Amino acid sequence: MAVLKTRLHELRKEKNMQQAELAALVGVRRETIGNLENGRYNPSLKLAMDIAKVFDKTVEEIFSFEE
Amino acid sequence: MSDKKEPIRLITNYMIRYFINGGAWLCFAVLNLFDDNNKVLGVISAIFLFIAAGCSFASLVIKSEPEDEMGQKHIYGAKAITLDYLLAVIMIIGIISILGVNISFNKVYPFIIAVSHVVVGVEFWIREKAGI
Repeated sequence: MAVLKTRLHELRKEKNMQQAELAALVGVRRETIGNLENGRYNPSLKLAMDIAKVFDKTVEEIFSFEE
Repeated sequence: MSDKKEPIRLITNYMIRYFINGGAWLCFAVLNLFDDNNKVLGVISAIFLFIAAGCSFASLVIKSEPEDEMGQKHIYGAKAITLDYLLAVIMIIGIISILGVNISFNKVYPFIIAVSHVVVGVEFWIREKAGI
């Protein structure tokens, strides 16, 4: 089964950004960002695009599927 | 220092709305099994119903985090699985009553309300923590 991998934690640390700050920027709860980083939640396309926009990257650069 | 109150977490709000509310209904349901004419039990039962009503009302008026997409997914999932359980329970009660056992709806309905609330709360909590 393909597992969603994310660079969210790494990118957030690069920007020295808290989970709560990112959550506020994309309009979700802090827990959602936490679960995204731990690979326990698959985001909607809208949320993935909103996050990509915050980091000025493409969705593929942040999220990828691994077998 | 800011006077602005922080909104409560969504999980806290749902625990009040479903888990505590359901717990109060469960206490009422158990007391409802005993003697209907006992005034003390009647007063305690009324207190539990008041707590349940208070939880429902409070969860609606207390300022809480807005429901985001993960919260929505988890609460819809929790409600869906609870509906399955509820239908199974109602079906079992129906089968038992067809077999000739007399079941008082007055005694059973608080349990159904209680369990349906508690299960939603527990399922939501599990989904939030385990990230299903």
